[in-house]
Amino acid sequence: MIPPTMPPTSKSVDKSALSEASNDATFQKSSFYYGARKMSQNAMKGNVMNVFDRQAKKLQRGRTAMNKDYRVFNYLKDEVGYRLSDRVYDINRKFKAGLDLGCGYGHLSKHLTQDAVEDLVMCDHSSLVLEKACPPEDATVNCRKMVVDEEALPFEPESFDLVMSSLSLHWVNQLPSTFSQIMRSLRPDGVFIGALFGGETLYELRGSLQLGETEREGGFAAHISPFAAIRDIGGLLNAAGFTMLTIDTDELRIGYPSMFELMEDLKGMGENNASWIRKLHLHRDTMFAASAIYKELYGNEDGTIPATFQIIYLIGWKPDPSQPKPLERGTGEISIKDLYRLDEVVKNATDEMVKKTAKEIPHSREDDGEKR
Amino acid sequence: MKLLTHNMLTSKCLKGVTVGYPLGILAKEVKVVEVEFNPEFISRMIQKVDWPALCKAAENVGHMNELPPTLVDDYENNEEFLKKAHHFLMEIEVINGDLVCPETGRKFPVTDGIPNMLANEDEV
Repeated sequence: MIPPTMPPTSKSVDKSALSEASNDATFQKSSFYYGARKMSQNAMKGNVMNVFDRQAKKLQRGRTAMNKDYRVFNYLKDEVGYRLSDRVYDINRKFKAGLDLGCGYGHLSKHLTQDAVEDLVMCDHSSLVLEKACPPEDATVNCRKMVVDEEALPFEPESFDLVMSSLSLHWVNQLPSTFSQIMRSLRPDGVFIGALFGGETLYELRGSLQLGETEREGGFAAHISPFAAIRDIGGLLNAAGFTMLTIDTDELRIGYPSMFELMEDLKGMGENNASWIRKLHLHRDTMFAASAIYKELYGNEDGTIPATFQIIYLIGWKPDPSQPKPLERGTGEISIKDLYRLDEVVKNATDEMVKKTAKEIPHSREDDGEKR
Repeated sequence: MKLLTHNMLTSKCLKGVTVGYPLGILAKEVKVVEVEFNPEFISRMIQKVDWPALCKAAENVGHMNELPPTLVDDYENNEEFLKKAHHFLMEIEVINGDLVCPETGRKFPVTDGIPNMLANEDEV
């Protein structure tokens, strides 16, 4: 699995191997050939970190908007959007200008009020999705929509006080570049609040498909796209220049009757695989095998199956002189070696402070009264 | 697309573009939509607005010389000026047309009031 923050290894774009394989008719017919060839072309262009087919993702998401029941499939994104909006309200500030990057159907924006943000720009990669996106329920929020690619933000520097992104950045090829662009579009002391899928997302489905495909076809392809690992996110945000980082994870476990309902819902959310090297066809036998393996390995007692979604929440601030700064090295008064006897250290420090204060006050209140 | 939106857009994401600001406006359909006047909001927004770019945008949509070329001193207390700024920032909307990169001439369409700022793969 290639993490989106890393360039593909040289093996994945080995030109000699590709040219040999391209002579094989069966290889040419396979979808892997198309993906590998495309990935190879992108690597040759110098665009090494091209893992996802953004055009395919745009079409997949646009297709969800044409489904009359598109709202039914958005339970996960709505829940994460609601939780993320909670984090916006945790910041005790009214933001003048906010950006919802990859807003989808307004999963996050609809929860925002005038108390959080006065002026909101909703952006998405798909115009079809954007047309159906819910603006904030609070009509006093000035809201505008715009079709924007998360990989190429068209905003002037220092345009926003707040940038939010709820479950859209996991399809971005160049996460470091996107973080840098977000940083540039923020004003000093502006904040970026985001949520994206973590590496543990759908591990049950990934494992079951791999085992099922290995059993039936003697090998497996990547059916679930790579996700960012939590350990990488902090480094990427730091590299982009964000300070005072807060990163935490949440796991949502959702039950489904079987693997097929899970896959149907993922498709309905527009979350089907869009990596270049995706295999476009899955044999029926493989699907049934994977479904049986899923039930056997991970199934609940009531016959349903769980699907885990790991959500990484992140908050990063654009530096500003007004922000609190850490003390200089060497200014600490308590050694970390004394951590095990913390209560004693605190008591001693308190006693010393009381003595010091008593020395500084020359008279007691009674003396003061007598003098008066 | 309100002129407030236009004021923050750039085509710098295109290959070879150094400034890409302000984008030209080729308006095919412009609408004036009444929006409730909020003087506090407008005075806060004016601090962040590139005034010459707003004047140029107003000119592009056919409202030449209706805005003062420079920001008025003490505009927070000048209600007449704030109302004028409110009208241009919030009420004038480009419904259909194009935004034009000043350096390459590349057009970004505006359809039903939504600007489409997507660039082709070979342009980025």
